[in-house]
Amino acid sequence: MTDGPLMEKVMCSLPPHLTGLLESGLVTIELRSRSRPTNHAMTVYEKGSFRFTIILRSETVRAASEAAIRGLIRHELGHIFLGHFNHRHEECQLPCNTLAEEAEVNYYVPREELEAIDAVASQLLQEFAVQVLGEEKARALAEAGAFHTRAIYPEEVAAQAGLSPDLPPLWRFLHPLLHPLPPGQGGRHLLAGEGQEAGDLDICGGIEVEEGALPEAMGVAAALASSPRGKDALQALQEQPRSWGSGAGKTPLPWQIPSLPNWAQRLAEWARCLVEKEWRRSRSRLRPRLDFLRATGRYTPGWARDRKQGEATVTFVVDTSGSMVTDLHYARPAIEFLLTQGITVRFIAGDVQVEIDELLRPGSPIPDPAGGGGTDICPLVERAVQYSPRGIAIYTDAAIPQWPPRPEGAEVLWIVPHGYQPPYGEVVRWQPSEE
Amino acid sequence: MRNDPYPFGEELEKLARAAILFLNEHSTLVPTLWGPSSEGKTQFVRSLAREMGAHFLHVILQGLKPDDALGAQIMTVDARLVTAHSWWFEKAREWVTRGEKVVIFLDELDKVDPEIIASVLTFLRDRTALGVSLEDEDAIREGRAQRLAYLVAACNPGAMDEALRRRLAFIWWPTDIRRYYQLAGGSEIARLAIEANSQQLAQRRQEALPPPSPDFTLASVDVLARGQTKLLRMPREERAFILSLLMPREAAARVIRQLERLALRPEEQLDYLIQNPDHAVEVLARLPVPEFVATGASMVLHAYNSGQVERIPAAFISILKGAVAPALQRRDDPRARAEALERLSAWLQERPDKQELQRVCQEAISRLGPDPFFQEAARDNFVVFHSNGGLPRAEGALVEICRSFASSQEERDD
Repeated sequence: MTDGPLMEKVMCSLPPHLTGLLESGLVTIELRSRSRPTNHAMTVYEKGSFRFTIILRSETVRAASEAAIRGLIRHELGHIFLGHFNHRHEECQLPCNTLAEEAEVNYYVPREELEAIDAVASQLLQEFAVQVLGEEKARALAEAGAFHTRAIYPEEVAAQAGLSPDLPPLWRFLHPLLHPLPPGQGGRHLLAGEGQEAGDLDICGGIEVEEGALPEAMGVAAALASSPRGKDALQALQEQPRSWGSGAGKTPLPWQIPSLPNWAQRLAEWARCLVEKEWRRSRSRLRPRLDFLRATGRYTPGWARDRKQGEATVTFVVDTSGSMVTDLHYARPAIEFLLTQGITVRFIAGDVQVEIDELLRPGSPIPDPAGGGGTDICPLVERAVQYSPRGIAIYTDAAIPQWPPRPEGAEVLWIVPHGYQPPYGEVVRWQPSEE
Repeated sequence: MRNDPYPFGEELEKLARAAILFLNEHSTLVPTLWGPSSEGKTQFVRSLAREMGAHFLHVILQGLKPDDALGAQIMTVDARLVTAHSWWFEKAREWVTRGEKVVIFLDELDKVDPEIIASVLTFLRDRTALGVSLEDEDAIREGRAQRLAYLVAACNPGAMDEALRRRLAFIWWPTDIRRYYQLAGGSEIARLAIEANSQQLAQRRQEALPPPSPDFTLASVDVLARGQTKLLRMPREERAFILSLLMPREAAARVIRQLERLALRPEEQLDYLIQNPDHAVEVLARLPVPEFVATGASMVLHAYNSGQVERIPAAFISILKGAVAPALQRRDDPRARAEALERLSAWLQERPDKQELQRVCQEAISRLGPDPFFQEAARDNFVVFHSNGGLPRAEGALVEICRSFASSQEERDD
């Protein structure tokens, strides 16, 4: 059989989306003859070619089943898509790198295709042994299982590395766990007969990029993965490993811890500072120098401050207009948080008019919000000012027609999203939930 | 809001145990049980110490004065400066020096006296008191020594000093009826009492205030980098729990999902292209039209999604350069001009992803302003804008190509 029919055999073995990928011209397949049953497949990138070339060994293609050919090409495409030629992969030249790469690539190759590769590689190895050693010796070795070859199966490498079964056996996980794997404990051989030199039996020659061609190769690989034809091929490559592991990774984390927004902590601190200004502090006496006392053998414990705490009240204005509907609920844990600090909250809420105006003390039920219409927080702030508070915290998305005038005698803390700058007062930012 | 898929009972204890060990061994963040008093926090930490075969030191920080908390430096009558550490620090050091494990339980951390916050912070961060280290932190960090002193803190829900809060990793420890039954064991009276009070317990759990959402800080990154190997080997639930202590839970969930996602993604390659716009031009110029358009769009979207908005101007201009590259390379060749025009119009035409691209570019302009785009365009004299008093005027390679294409069109029309 010449290369023409062999190439036809290769193309017939490929599913349509992988053939489509070849149409882009960014990947091509070549057949090359090699006497030794090694490097059955490899990928090269030549400078200026702007395409990856998958080189298949003609003798292997001739003997291989369609599944084995498909598996070999899938394997090589995996190397390209996974970028097994980039800087991070070049950093480690130890077998752990190759072992992790091969395991990762084979993760995308269906099991029957890996087994088909096993079969053809074993057969070719045995045929080669007959040629080199003679029929009798080769038969004896075959009976001893010397030509039994086995692919690098990802689950075995994952187990060797101790990777959690919940995680897919990807290079980026396997390599740090295997590194540094001393030479002789792994290798580029996808299949290696027991008792054979690994280097002699590499079925996959890996991926080689000509010196100085890395930028081009990176770009072509990116183009392959980004293009519509590449995406189809990726889809085909990704069909295989979907059954991997428990599958639990596809479901989101189930915890629903009630959320306390980050700004609540800042609000509490602001309220506490505000309240602290009202506290009367007194020191019963000056603190003695401990070092003196210790040195003289006398020790008197420190003197605590006596604090008298009055009732601390903070006015919390919440915009309940329609645009706040998704973010409004964060006000509740924030109010709860303030109440647990022993801070009394004057809770004022509404959209264009005041709908709720209640004084909440620790233990008080928090009323449900009302509103949902247009926005104008000016009436809410006017109401707050009527109570002559020391501080007013205003929680709004700032989708308002105008900023309310500065309330006299009260400090103001604005809790607004990024991109809005109130004309006065302190500002705390929050993240709208839709982001 | 308050449904309870949050782990509880033995499950929570198992996860908390894993988190305490992990954080102590791979970080300086202190695992802190956040929950109301009398809910078994101390008992849990004590049993953890027993399981580990470690000594247990219970340090109640409430009301401690500076000298009692960590110790004091004393000037003696003969003018010698003597460092006297607190009892628990001395004890812990003694055990650690002997190679024995110790669990130091810092209780009532929220009630620590403001006067000693600074020294407590130093201890939490460096595990040192008055300049004396409990263990060789460098050796632990480099893997030359094992952690022997484990810190666990506890606090009641409430506001906390901001700096202190950032040194802690909060483990929510709400009221848990299972813990009550576990403690009751076979006692019929105790079980009946729990049943009689079950409504109250359920109410208490409902009202339990969760800890503040953790901030993602450099300390979080440090833990993840140092503990990567262990995280990769531990069961999913433990990994998810630990991640949720190091960052807001939505982000933790996203990380978990990404970890388990398949990896056939061109991110690294796209990263390379957006970081090397000149190489990107070279590659884009050689790609077939569909691949050119798809790669260009992927570059811009990837720059945006990976937080590299400042690279969008260069990526954007490299796409335009890649589009007209045939005409730039073969200026007198009309076919090259036609090819350039075809590529340019393919890039500019309406496509499903165009709206998203437009949004990303608009956001980049609003964040960075138009100047980086103009500066990038002016590089290599691609497009340069002048405004000498009058209307702005464009010059450069792109303008020349457009002019020569227009003139060749006119010639053809004539």
